[in-house]
Amino acid sequence: MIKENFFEQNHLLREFPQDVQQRLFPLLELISLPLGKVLYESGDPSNFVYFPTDAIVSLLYVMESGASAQISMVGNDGVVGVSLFMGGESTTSRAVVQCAGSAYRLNGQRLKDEFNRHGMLLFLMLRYTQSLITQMAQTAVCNRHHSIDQQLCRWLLLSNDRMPGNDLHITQELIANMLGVRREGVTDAAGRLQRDGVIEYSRGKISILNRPQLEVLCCECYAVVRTETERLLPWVFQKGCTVKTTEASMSAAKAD
Amino acid sequence: MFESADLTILAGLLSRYLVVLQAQQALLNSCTHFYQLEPRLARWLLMTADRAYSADLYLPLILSVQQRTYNTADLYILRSLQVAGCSVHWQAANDKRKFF
Repeated sequence: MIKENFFEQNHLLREFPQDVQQRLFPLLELISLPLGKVLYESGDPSNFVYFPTDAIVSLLYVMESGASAQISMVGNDGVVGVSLFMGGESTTSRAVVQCAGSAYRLNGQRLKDEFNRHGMLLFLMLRYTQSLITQMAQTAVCNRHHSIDQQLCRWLLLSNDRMPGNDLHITQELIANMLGVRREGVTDAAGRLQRDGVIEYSRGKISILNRPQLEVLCCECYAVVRTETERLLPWVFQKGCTVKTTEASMSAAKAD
Repeated sequence: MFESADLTILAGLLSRYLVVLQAQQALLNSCTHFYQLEPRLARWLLMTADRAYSADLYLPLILSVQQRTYNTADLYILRSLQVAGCSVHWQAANDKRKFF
């Protein structure tokens, strides 16, 4: 059994109604998500949904040519596998771990059963889905109309909102894949941010040093997503997630 | 009042529609990012035609051919001349789908 307060690391889980928590929480399984792990491929039927705690999962659309671009990201604000409990069974996107960490895994059918009870969980999940759709729409516009510098700022801020701490363990190559641009473009943009003292980049780790300045440099897309998320899921930014999932806590959870 | 069974069917339909909408957004995201204007415009026309009652598209409040082109450009957030260029190209290629 997993200790109760661990669930608070995922904001969506924390907001589950009490009766749903009692039914579902004993079924949650804390798992480790290494960088680059594919949770599901486009078109594959998926059996599980994932509630990240300190990991971030990217949903990518992969073209026939093999090129891919991120359509949205899910961290401790939500759940990976929306289409599973909404009856879609499979998706057109690929889910890849962009920042290593951990997540709670749940059998998708169990969440679907709860969803079909038409209780508060239904409204909660629909609101989350709407915020995800907003993020997708804004990403489409941003990728088309804004510079790589602005896209990188948006990506860093969205990632920072969805995980505890200010350090992102990720390579520039992976960011370039997420944004659907060449790596050199990301290197240049990250270099400019580092020169301005906004971020620090070293050996696959990006530390956000000056978040307010990052928001200034970003296009309006981040604010649109943030505002809509705050409106639909006000608890995401009101209650800071301070508990980190460490190796020790994971071991303790598994031992219990 | 809805019966419980009706509500289940309705909720199921709406949920599945949301899944379709999400898939469409994902596709739109990548398409606008990776493809040039011409295939994007073709996709837009096909998707619009799929959702229209006939193969002819009558965009609202449009009187002249030139204005119709402007309207499509606005929807797409593209420069009108580029859209017009595509339509001329298609017509020159004897494409029967003369939308403009």
